[in-house]
Amino acid sequence: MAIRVAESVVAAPSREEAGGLPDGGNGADHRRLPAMDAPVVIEVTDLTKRFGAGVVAVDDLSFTVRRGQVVGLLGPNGAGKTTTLRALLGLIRPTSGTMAIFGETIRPGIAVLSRVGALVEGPGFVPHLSGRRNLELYWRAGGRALSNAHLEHSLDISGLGPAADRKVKTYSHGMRQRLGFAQALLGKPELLVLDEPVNGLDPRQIVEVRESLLGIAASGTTILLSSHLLSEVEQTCSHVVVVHRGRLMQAGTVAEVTASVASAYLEVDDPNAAAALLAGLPGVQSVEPSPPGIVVQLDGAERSDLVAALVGAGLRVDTVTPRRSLEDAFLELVGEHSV
Amino acid sequence: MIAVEFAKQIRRVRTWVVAAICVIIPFLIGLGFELGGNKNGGGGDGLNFVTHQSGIVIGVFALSFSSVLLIPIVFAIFTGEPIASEARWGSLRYLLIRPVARPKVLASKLSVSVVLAVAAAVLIPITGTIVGIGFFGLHPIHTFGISSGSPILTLSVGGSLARLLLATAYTLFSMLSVVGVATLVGVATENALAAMASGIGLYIVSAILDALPGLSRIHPLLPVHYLEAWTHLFVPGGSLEGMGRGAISAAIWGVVPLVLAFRLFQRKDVLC
Repeated sequence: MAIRVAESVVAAPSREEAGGLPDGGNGADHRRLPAMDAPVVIEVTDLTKRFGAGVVAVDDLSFTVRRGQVVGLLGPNGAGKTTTLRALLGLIRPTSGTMAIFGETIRPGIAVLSRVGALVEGPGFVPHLSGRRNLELYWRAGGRALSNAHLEHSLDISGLGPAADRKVKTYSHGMRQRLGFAQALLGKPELLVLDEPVNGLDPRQIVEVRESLLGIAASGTTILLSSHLLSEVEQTCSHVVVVHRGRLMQAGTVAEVTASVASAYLEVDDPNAAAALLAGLPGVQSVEPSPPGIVVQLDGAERSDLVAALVGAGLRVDTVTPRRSLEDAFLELVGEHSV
Repeated sequence: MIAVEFAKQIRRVRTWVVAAICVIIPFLIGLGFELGGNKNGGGGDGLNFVTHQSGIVIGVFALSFSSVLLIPIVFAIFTGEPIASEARWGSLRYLLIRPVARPKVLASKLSVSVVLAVAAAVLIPITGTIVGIGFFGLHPIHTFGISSGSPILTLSVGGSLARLLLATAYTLFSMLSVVGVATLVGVATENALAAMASGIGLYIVSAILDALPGLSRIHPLLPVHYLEAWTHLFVPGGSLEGMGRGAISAAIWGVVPLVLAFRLFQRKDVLC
């Protein structure tokens, strides 16, 4: 069941490609791509955070998250993702720039945080208390009655079962992560901010978390998650904000970002001859060997142009596949050396 | 918020270990006097009692013996740790993304820590007195000055208990300096050990400085200088002036670092 759901999500970007509607206008993806005029939930404007002398963690970063979007903040380790999320939650002060959640400028401990659930840089719990007790105290620290917390609902999602009544110090890393996820979901927040939510989970748990995220998103919750895993963002998110060294590289729907860099993978009977031929073709940026085939970076040419040229030259084409994955876009945007 | 903090701290093993020590040590003091048979107590400055005359004397000695080191340690442990522990567990960031102002978070932690430290510290004179009554009974106290020929001060049971109560309150109030410094270092470093060590270190260093005659001009500024001023309550012709000065000194040593701690905590980037 879980696997099937995940596959349908994996398939989503290619459906968009097939339909030629990278703006997400096709019906199947309507849920995942909310209208661009949905209310703004997060507004980050010219955010810069400098630590000490000269270390710039976030550099003039701006992006917008609208209601119902699932936005992936994507970048390699050290790109400034966690710093951005911490600033957004009022944990650190920006050096300059402003941030607003639901229209309210962020300050430490601001009231609007009651509408936000978060998991920041791994879970953190009081070790000598049970998982359940930790969630109760977390909730009550916010000054709201426990009856609003939907505690059992969150614990159900965590899948901890009877372990919820054991002391947290007996938990495995994965159990803590799941309890952290449950804590973020307390009170059914309108906005979820998740920092590397699948870090440290095994593949089956990753699928489960992804499945619950999609379910939560389907109910209208806005989600901002950070990840250094391209596949994760591609499979979970409707939108992506690519950051590198604290700077914004690109932002848009996953389809837009992947479409911004088009490439094709071909297998032919004589790769060397094919590479030489295609490199001279108009609309081709570069050709690189990728045994057993070759990868062609396109800059205007269509895949069909490549096939026509190869067949015209008497070469036999075995396989042609689009390589418009987020990974390609990402590598191109951030430069391969730093990933 | 205070209830939440209380729930976190009361279940810690640390809390109960400290409480146990605060019961065992006065018990040992009482036992020592009972077994040793030494009828002339030592104690701090100017305390001259015949220890066997009343159980209350054991309470007074328990307070005197622990006010220089044990009680400051108790306060340093409780007040240096709350922010640092949460930082170490990784739960501080989750506490601070709740819709609660940071000063309220720190104030709640501080209040609970101080209440627990006071609760543990008062066990010392209470246990001392109870153990003492068990060994020596409940009688009026006769005390005399160091110099021969000084008048003898006689305190009724009620009067001596009241003075012990006042002495305990004064000693606990003097701990404001430990509370202030330990809290400030705890907030600044998020390191529990550094916070506790600085609270205790403040006492040790100033006790050493206070013992150096060459530095007599700065002695009134040191947080330990008036620590035992309460012993005047139990000697003939004692004056309350030292306690008055001590209270002012403790208030300054407490309030200044606490104000700095709150300012720092409000502005701090929470990276743990």
